Parts: sequence; C-alpha cells; structure tokens
Amino acid sequence: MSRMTMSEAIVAAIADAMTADPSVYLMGQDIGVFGGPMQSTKGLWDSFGAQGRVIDAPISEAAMVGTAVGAAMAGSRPIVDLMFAEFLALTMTPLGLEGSAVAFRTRGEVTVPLVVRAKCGVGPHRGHAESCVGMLLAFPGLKVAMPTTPQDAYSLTRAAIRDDNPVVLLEHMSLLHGARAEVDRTLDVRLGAADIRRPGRDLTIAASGLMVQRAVRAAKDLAADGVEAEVVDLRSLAPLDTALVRASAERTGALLVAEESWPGSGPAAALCAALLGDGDRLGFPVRLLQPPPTPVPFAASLESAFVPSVADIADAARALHAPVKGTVTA
Amino acid sequence: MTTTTTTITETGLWQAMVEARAFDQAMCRHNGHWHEARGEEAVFVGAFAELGPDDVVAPHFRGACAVALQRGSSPATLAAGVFGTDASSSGGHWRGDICPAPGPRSVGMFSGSLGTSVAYATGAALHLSRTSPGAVAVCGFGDGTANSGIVAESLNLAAMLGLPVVYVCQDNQYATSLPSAVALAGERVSDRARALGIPATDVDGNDVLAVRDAIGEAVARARAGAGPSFVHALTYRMGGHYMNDPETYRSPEEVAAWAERDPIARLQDQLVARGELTADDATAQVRAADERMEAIVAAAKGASDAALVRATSPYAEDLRSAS
Ligand SMILES: Cc1ncc(C[n+]2csc(CCOP(=O)(O)OP(=O)(O)O)c2C)c(N)n1
Ligand SMILES: [Mg+2]
Repeated sequence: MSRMTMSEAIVAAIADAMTADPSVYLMGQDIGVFGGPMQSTKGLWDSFGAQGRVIDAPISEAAMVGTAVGAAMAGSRPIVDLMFAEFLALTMTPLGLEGSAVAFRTRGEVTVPLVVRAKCGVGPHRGHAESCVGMLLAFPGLKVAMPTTPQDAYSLTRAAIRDDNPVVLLEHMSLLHGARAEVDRTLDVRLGAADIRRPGRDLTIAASGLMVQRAVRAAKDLAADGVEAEVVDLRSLAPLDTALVRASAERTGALLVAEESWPGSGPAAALCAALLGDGDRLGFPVRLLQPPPTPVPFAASLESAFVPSVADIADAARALHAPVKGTVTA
Repeated sequence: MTTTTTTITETGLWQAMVEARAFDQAMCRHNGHWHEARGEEAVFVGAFAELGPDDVVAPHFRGACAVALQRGSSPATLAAGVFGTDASSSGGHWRGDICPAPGPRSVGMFSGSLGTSVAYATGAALHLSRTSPGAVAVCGFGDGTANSGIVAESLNLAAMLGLPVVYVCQDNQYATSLPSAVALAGERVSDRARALGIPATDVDGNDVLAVRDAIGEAVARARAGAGPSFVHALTYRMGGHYMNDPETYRSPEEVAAWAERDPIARLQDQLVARGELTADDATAQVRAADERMEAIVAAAKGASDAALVRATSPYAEDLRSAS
C-alpha cells in the first residue's frame, strides 16, 4: 500500500501493466522527456522510453488512435494518452464506429484491447473541459470509465488495460492532483460497477467525476438539516450500473442525477433510459441536474453558472426530498 | 478589389511588432494561462500586414491577438476577451486568446482543437473565389499543427480547386516539447506543399521584411487567380509553451543563441542605420507601448465578469436556469 494522487495512481497502474505485459505500449503528445501533459506519464519515459514503449506523438489524433486500433487488432495492448477529451471528436471513426465494433463483427475472433486516456472537466486549466461523453455513449461496444478516487484510478486503469475492447478513461482535471490516499495494488474493480460513496436513507444522488465530490459535500450540508443522501459514484459510464442505482433509489425513494456533461445524450439521459427500459413504472421520482445545452462557456462567472455547484445539488436534493406544497414543477 | 502594393512602411512594421510584444509581455505578467509569442512577431506581423478588409485571416493561436491589434481591434477589448470579463466581445462565451476577433473576415479556433481553422480558411477562400475575385484568405498554423490530417486534406483541396489561399507555417521549432526537427518527417515542411504542386517558399521567420515579401508574392498570385501558396517561416519560441513551462526539453544555450536574432532588434538596427529611426526615439516608443499595454492589461485583469450572466445572449436563459 502507498499513498497516491489519482494521477500518480494511473501512472502506477500503467507502469505495473507495462512491467507485467510487454505488449502494452503508450503513445501520446509530450509524454517523453516532458513527462506528459499535467505530468500524466511522470517517470514512464525513464522506465520504458529506451524500450520504445513510450512514443511521443505529433499532433495527429486520428492517426494516433487509428494506429492503436490496428496495433491492437494485430496483438498489442496500446494506451493512447489523448491529452484532452475534446480531441476524442477527432478520432471517432477508428475508435467509436470501427474499433468498438470489431469484436462484435468477428464473433470475438478479433479484438481491440485499447485504452484511450483523456482529461476533461472544469478546473484549474480553464479550457478543454468538454468530456464528449455523450458522443462516446452513442457507440455500442465502447466502454467509458471515470474514476474519482486514487484506488479506483489505479484499479480501473488496470481493468481498462486488461479489457479486450476499447475503453476510454476520463480523467477529471479537478480531481487528478487532489488529495493522496492509500492504494492497494492488488484490488480489482470490475468495469461496469458503480459504488456507494456515502450511504443514506432519504434520497439517492447518482453522479460521476467532479459531481461525485460536489454531491458528497452537498450531502454533508443536507445532513445538517437532517436529510441523509446516499451518493452513488457511477464510475463506469458505459456500461452503466443501472441495477445498483435502481436498488439504491428504491430504498431511499428518490433519485437525483447530477452531471457536468451536456444534457440530451449524456450519462444522465442514458441512466434514465436504462431505468425506464427496465420495465415497470419507476417507484421513485427522478430529477436531473445538468448544464444547459450550450457550448462550455469561458468566463469564470458563466462557467460556474453552467456547472452544477454544491449548493445547486443540495437545493435540488431538498426540493426532491420534501417538495414545497403548492409549487408547480415544469 | 484590394490593393497589392505595399501599404505599410518598414517603420510601421517595426511599430506593429513593438505593439504586439508590449501586449504579449503585459499578458505574461498578468495571465498565468497566456501563451507567450515573444520572438515570433516577424511571422505574424509580416504575414498579415498587407491585407485588405475583404480578405479573410485565420492566424495561428500564438500571435492571434497581435493580428487582431494590427487589424484595428482595441487592446482593451482584446484583453477583456482574454480574461473573460464584462467587456469581452464574445460576452465571455469564448476564449479571447485563441479567438480574439471572430467575424466573417476573421476566423479563430472555436474549440481547443488545433488544425480545423486551416480548413475554415480554405473554405473561406472557396467562398471568396466565388464572390469576391481578387480577395484572399491567409492562414497561419504552427509546425506542430502542420501534422494534423486536416491540414494535408485542406492543402490538397485548395490545390485541386485552385483556391486563393496562402498557408503560413509559423515554425517556432517546437510543438510544446516535441521539436519540429523530429516531428516533421522529411526535409522541409514546405515539401509537402510542393508535392501537391503548390508553390512554396522557405523564409527567415525572424526577418519581417523577408516574411512580408514572401507573403506579398503569394498573395499576389492568389489575387491573380493562380491558386494557393505555402510559406514556411522558420522562427523560435523564446518563452515557454505556456507560463511556467519547465522547458526540460531544450537548453538555455539554444534559447540564448536565438535571442541574438530578435526580430524587433534586427529591424530596429536597420532603421537606425538608415536614419529612419533614432535609438532614443526607438527606446521612447518601446517604453510608451509597454506602459500603455501594461495599464490596459492590468485594468482588464481586475475587471468584473459578474454582468455576463445577466447579459442578453442566445444562452442567457439557459445559463440562468442552470444557476
Ligand atoms: C488537435 C490538438 N491536439 C493537441 C493540442 C494540444 N496542444 C496545444 S498547443 C500544442 C502545440 C502546438 O504546436 P504548434 O502548432 O507548433 O504551435 P505552437 O504552440 O508552437 O505555437 C498542443 C500539442 C491541441 N490544442 N489540439
Ligand atoms: Mg510550434
């Protein structure tokens, strides 16, 4: 066990996977002597650069991912550090349309064991916040994981590298260099499993990325008022752990989904569709809290109006838990 | 019809570079998110100096504010855009550093993704070829951006259609940490254009007169309907890629050697030698520009952004309901 930030845990997971399996290699921009954008590959150049397994890429995202799909079909297990998730949009034919379809179209004869790392989210960077996650969820077969703790960062990265299909690892820039915590390198976490971050009996808040941290803070505020919120960290945005969310909401009686990504086609919409698609009428009310359908704005004041805050989450939870009599909700 | 003759004096070019640097250096002092352009002024000042109002510009992000300044934007408005405060011309909706003065004749980056603006400039040239014979589009992009697939695709389309567009590769020898000598396979990036039959020149990108002349020829060719051209301007990024770049990928000696070739000092020496500028006058003008930009940028940094949320905009309703 050792204490790591999320960023350090991801690097450790990659290093362990590269040590264990020579078919793993890493390609990305500025991952050589520079150590990776925001130190995303710190130390890997020293350990694996001489073996040609840490490849500094030109600004050629479609080819970075396209070659990785080809290398993966041929037998490698590539990891592409795409820097920012907004660049995913430049890579969707090889990654989404084709790479994610290969196993299905070959009855599993050919697989694409590829991991794409991508940083996203509002935060210190003041730019490149777009996760493009709704776009990713549109492609069958493409898995998307989003850790929020150092342990999950380690375990989900290992799981993503082990997986035989393309996995996008979304790394939230406001969480990556947060507090260190103990990481057990032997602990496995399955892709597709959500986790209860904070137990509660009065309502369920399902969230991912930065929204998990904000939901936990909102839950503390709510607890002061005697409202106990259960916070579910989705962790995996594709596939979604609908069963865990449903069980939690059935127990607490209400579901609030807090999201940082665009509405319409993001995890919140996918979760609702999955819950409804399960069959019976939902036995609990659902409320979605997510940004408006606009590009991510730049000004700090607009950005904080755009993304749900701790207070927004707490207010929405209060309204959902104890609707004020006489108010009409649209 | 736009003019093809020289409209800016050499002293004017020197002043434009001095202004550009003054704004850039003030931003370095006040904005931790700035991308410094010191040392590259001859490329973006020389490339965009002689265009008319009908022409379309799509500058590289590093130096984009300087191009906007040169085309008449007010530095206070530009600075408000960079900080995202109330006076921002986009209403704070978008980044004023990489997209300073967007309009039908000026294209910027509308996301954080490099490369697409080269296609937009090419498309603007297609429009100009159909509607305003004699007008051109000039687009700048870095040596790193040159490796993006959409750049190759755009060049080929422009050659195929004979479009009035000038491509300017602002080669500052690095894409963040990756040297262009490593990343740009092949002898010269301009050979990529030559392979498509696009006339290409390689110029000293620290010599603003050489850049202006090379672009002038290319622009004249485009105005005459003779299709696209490519200018490769070799320069050097004197500062880090961003503020607080550790610069572990290059040596202080390399940086010092390029300091000797400063584009502003170089033209200044020529102007002084020719008696068109005195050393004292030059010093006074530089100081005046620095003081002016320092005051503007410092004031912009402290400005409020609170009114943006209430401002009328296509998104105001949505943003209000989200807050
Ligand atoms: C498509 C894309 N890939 C990567 C990046 C991240 N990035 C921002 S600036 C930069 C370097 C760009 O190099 P160059 O085009 O030479 O411009 P310079 O920074 O040297 O002015 C990189 C890789 C980006 N913005 N867009
Ligand atoms: Mg460059």
